[in-house]
Amino acid sequence: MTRTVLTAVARLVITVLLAVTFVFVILRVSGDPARALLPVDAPEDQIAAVRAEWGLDKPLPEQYVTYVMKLASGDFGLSLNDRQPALRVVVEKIPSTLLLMGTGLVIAFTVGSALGLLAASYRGRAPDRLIMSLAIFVHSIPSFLFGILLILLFAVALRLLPSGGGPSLLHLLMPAAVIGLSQAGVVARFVRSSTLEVLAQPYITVASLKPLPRWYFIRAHVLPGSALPLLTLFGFSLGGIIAGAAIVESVFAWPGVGRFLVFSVARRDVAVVQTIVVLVATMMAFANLATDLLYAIFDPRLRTS
Amino acid sequence: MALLSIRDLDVRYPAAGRLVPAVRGVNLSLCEREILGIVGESGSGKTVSCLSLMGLLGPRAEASGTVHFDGRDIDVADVVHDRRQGLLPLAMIFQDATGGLNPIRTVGSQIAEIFVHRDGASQKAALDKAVELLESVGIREPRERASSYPHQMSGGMNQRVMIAMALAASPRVLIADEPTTALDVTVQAQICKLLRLLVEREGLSIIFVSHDLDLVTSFCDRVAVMYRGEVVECETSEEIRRAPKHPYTAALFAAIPGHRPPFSQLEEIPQNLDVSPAIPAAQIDLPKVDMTPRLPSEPVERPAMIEVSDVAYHFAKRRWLSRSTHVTKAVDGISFSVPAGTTFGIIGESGCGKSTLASLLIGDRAPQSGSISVGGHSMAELLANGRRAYANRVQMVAQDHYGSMDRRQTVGPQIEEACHIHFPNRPIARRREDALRMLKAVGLDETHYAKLPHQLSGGQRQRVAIARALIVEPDILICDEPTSALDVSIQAQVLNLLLKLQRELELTILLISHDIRVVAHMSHAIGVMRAGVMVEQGPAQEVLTNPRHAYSRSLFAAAPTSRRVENPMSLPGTEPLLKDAVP
Repeated sequence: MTRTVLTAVARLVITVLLAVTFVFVILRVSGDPARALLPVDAPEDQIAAVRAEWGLDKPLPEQYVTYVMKLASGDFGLSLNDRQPALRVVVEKIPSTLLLMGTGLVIAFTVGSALGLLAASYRGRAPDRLIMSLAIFVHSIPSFLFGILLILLFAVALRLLPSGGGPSLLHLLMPAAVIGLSQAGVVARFVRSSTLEVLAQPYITVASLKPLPRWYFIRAHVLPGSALPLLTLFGFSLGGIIAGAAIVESVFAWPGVGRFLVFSVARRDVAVVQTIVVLVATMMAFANLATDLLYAIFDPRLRTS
Repeated sequence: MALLSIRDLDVRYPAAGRLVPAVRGVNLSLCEREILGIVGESGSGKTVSCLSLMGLLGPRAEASGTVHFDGRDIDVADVVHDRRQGLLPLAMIFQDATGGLNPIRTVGSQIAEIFVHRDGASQKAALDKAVELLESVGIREPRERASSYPHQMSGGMNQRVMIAMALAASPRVLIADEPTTALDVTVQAQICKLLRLLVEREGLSIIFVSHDLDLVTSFCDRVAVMYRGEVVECETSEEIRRAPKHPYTAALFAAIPGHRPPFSQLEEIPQNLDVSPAIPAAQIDLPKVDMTPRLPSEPVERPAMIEVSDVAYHFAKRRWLSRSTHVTKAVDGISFSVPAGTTFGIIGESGCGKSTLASLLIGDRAPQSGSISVGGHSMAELLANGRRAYANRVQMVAQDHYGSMDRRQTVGPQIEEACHIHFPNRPIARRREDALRMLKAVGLDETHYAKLPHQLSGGQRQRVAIARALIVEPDILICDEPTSALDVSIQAQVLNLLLKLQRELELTILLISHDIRVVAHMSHAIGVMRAGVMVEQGPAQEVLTNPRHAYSRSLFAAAPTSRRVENPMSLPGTEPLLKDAVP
């Protein structure tokens, strides 16, 4: 168990370091950062001065080490917007994004699991086909289109929900539904196939012969096995949701990290963009770490050898 | 008076728009404290008959007949779709015990849940009862074992857990469907002994389903022989052994190696044998089989074709961040030599290293120490010119006849391909000719040339595998469990074919098997492997009749043979009952 944890943590550190290195390389190959910061017609000596001020005249390896050290100490540079520390500006917006993503995930996994189980128990019959077609359908509509359609229906035509802004519970409903439902399709497909796989296992036949109440049989023998692969999906879909958040937050003007990212890219706010990239990478790595550890907890076959 | 009897059982499955019978008019009866064996080949209906009692036939099956149980008459239609067994106190165990246990739950909890939900017992009381049951089926340290997961236990131990789980339902009858087929022979003997003990101690009655006629006739009280959905004969074990009445039973015995002298031809049961009850047994014509041994069983002096000296292969497994290295000595200092044109048989249980040895011999792995030479040339020398030069002399037939073929290519071209690789200069027309000639040599013909692997039967596929190996004209054929996935009658065909080919082509064969009867029938010399070491080797007759090593003795004693067993309780169980798999 200790070894599993150590391996997982080592993998986390490597992932984050790779993301940081990637940001560093992208910033250096995409042109001279000093020129990018200054107006196009800035004189050469001013550029040189900025270079010296930012340490851009030092050799690359040295710059890299300084860069990593600074990030490690929490110094992500200053945002262009009123010269606030980039980290603080971004962190301020994290809670509302987490709220949106969390609600989306809950919707995705509850709706998706329920539909997947339903489809599996009606395998090959009408409800199964209907659910599976629906799953592909919701997953293949682009989320901005889905979002706009929802706005047209609930905000413009029915005037039930606010079209954008927030954060409040009313404002949360539509964007969370967009995120949740498009992922629910994937979850439903996953749950359906893993349930069918479990139902075909010999241990299910054996368990079905025991004098057990039906609810207990499903809860104790069918569900745990069919839910295990969901852990993998959790790690995957988190990435999809984070990427989707940028679009969904923009469509619904949700004041979160995703919308801020789009805004900062447009303003070429390098410090903010790199902060978000590194934070998102760290979060993804943590999510996968959590997945690995949860597997080790829930699947005894991985625990011992 | 019979405890359970089945009358006129018919089971049909819908297929291609009509009902196809799986079981026809089966009558069986089981007395109290009796072990009834049901024996037959695949598709004979032996398992279907049992599943119909357990409500496991699936929703599409149709069944009719009556079950008479302990004074009650029950319509089969009422039990056939009822898994809960509201009507019959039956329990069942299966071939794959490890797969039959939920992998993410402890074995103890899987037994205890029955007491919790049926009797309303508390978790603790239920677990105590589970521990008691585990102890009663011979699991040592039952309390510790109750909190183990199935993957932490051996196959034999899991089968004991399955038996304990079945007993938890307090059945009167236990149905055991091939419960020992996936186990090593020594473990098989222990499980059989346990089942016999349960009959004596708990008053259980058992229906024991198996494909192995030797096993059921030495272990069961009475035996029903099934063929194509019908019971063709039902008699006491002694009677069946002494004088089988039905020609199919006699043929099945004659197909098993061990009932005929070594190297003699085994009975090949024709696929269209008509056994309808209207025809009296005496009128059914079985082809007369030539009983004379086909090869001299006394090995003549011949030059050695394979020489293996002191070969070793160890798997070292080192875990990350760990200093200790775990070494598995799969093959550890093995030496033997095989004279040209003879067969060397290797017997061993699972994990003894026999398959690693095979992979060394075909050049798939290089031995870490020691040397192998083929026809006087060292393996290293032959491999120096590329694998082809070596493969030209040594070919292999694997156990998995389906997996060892390309599923999307017809079999003819697969045979030609081997020919093309080894003889690139041969013209295409000649290649096809060779492939057809080879198909004929293995008892197939040009109609099989354009068939896909799934269109052939298991036995036909294994013939194609043999043809594909032999088309490159090797000196040595390595057969790793060549018939273990085949029915007895098909096994007989393949073994007969190997004997014929050996005689005609002067082949040197290395036969690896867990089945002592197969090895004894085919081999001039025999080696017994255990834990990477060849504990004993010598001329076949000598090793078989007078084994020197204690392990060989216990292995041979545990194996079902043609010998008659007077008292089933004395069934060779080797070591004491409570001892599980040989480490």
